[in-house]
Amino acid sequence: MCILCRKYSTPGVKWYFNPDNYKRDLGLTMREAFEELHQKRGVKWLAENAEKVDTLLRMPLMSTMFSEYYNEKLTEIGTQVVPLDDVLRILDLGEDFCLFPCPCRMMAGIEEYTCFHFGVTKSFYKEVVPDGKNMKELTREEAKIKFKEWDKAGYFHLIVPLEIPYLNNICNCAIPYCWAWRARMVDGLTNMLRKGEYVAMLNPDLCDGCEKCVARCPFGAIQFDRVKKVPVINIRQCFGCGLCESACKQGAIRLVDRQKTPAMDLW
Amino acid sequence: MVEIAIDSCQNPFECKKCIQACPFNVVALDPVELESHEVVKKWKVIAIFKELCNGCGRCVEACPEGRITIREEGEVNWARCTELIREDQEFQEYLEKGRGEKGLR
Repeated sequence: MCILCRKYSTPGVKWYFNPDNYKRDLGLTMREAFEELHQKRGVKWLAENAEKVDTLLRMPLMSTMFSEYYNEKLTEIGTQVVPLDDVLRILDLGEDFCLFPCPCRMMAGIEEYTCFHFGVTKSFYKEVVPDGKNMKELTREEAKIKFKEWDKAGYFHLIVPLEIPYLNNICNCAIPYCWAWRARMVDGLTNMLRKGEYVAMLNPDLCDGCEKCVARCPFGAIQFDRVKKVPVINIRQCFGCGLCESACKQGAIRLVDRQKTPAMDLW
Repeated sequence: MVEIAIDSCQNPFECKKCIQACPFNVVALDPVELESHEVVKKWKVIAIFKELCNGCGRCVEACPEGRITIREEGEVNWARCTELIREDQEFQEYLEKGRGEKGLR
């Protein structure tokens, strides 16, 4: 269990499966956080922060302190990787589903409706923008089909709290656009994108060496062993997004609980 | 480190050549002015996550007006760093307070 599970859930239940974290009453108290994020619009907020992080992290001496500060601050607003199976379970807990264009892709001039919201977002947004421009509504069944499509396309999912512990957003991220991915992999801001609750494990006996999983890993955790013709998964690098699992037609890769592996303390 | 200097044009959203040329999406769009919550009035081309830039020069080639220049070994922009630190109240407090209970790590 990660820190968030200990804090915001009962023992044995992952924090994003705790129904208390989806309660509408809790979301309604977070009007301010929503306003702040949406008045500036996602893209503008990202651009401002990217520039700041980029500039400050290049400062000698100060950079260590700044990354520590940012990491500490982000324990409260970070994102976490969730595999598809968990997303489908989360969809049963949420309500009022809607889609927005992804702000990270917007920065590259691409408009793609992959920013998935639920909970209070729809009602808050309708108050601000009455005609609901740039928002697509969808039902639970449609959402499940969409998520399966996105998973097939190789997008990994992040669960994002509006303000911890209230959860209202699941991203469908693609590299190199994903801002959280960049912050973690390029600038080393660990809490911006936290690892998932699982790691991928390979059963080499079932593997036929098709190499499909290698290309799908967004975190560079899979290398291909040219001698034995099997992939090698580095569980220290694995984020547990489950993209390799869904790519494997042989069923040789499956996700196991992080707590039962040597990677238990690596987040 | 590669330093990219971009003198943004007036309507980058219509051209987008520099953004499409960049393989790492270092060159990106930034909405400078918002009309309302979700409608952007004015876009600007900026460079983010310069760590990813390997200086391939595709953006320089792509721009029809020659507005982008790159050079090797950029220096730290001290003025901008100081400015950002001053602006951020929370970070200021953090600096004054030190690292708290955790001590030096």
